[in-house]
Amino acid sequence: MPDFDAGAYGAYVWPAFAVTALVFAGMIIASLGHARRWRRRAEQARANETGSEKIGPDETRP
Amino acid sequence: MIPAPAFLSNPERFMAFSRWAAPAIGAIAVLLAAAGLWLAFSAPPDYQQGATVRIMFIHVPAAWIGMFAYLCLGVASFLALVFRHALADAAAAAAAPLGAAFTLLALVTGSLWGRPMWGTWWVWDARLTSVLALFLLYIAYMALRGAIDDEAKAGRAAAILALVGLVNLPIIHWSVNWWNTLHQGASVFRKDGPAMPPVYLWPLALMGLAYLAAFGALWLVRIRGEVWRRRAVAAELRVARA
Repeated sequence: MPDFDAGAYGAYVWPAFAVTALVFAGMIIASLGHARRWRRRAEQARANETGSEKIGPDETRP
Repeated sequence: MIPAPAFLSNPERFMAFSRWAAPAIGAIAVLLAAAGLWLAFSAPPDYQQGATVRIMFIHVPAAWIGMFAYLCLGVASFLALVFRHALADAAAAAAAPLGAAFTLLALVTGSLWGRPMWGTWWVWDARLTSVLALFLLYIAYMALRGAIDDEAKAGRAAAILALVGLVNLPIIHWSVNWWNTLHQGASVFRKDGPAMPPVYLWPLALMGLAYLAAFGALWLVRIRGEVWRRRAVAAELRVARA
């Protein structure tokens, strides 16, 4: 069974895991946000270009 | 002439592949991380390191992927520079921020391990210094790309920088052999096999694969973002010229 007692080293172990979780959360949010933002802008630009609001099958997710 | 992967020369094929591959690889990363963390916290404290051994399960994979991402950046830069593949250039641009994040994680978690074990947060040791140089190379790569308005010129200049920086990878790997360092030598990828018991090797291997899968999934998402960005810029230019 997992043992979450880091004893006297908790002051180093838990910040290490917290920083890792934060950086991973940042990478996921930034990457998905970047892809979504530019997909919307590409769709808008394409709609402006063709005068159509139609979205293709690959344009449903980042 | 060396044939570049056909995959990299066809953005449509890449977008169709990455649409399902990115979430699938991301799901694999979550499962591997869950199993790796379970084993990491089930492993007994090390007789010398105590509970700080658990930091190894997040520090070592971050260092591995920090280096692997740079290798990907170098290969993509080579393909972009030599074969002028737009998707390879997008892949290079997408790898840099992820590689920088993994390298930063390796530096920070290593420092948090070093304080109780070595008695210091930082030492100008060959391994630590060369990994810091890797982080600075990522920052320089992104700064150079952002500093030049012409995207094609920015891509070529940054690709040359990335290729020059590849020399740092063997320096990082062999730094513990070439110099007397405080950092311990290799304990997994050794000629005579891993020098750690299975109770630590398994969670480390699972976490290494989880980090690799996470990098793969996020890299695909970021490349998709780059492709969308270039499509948006191209379409906006066409509209402006019309």
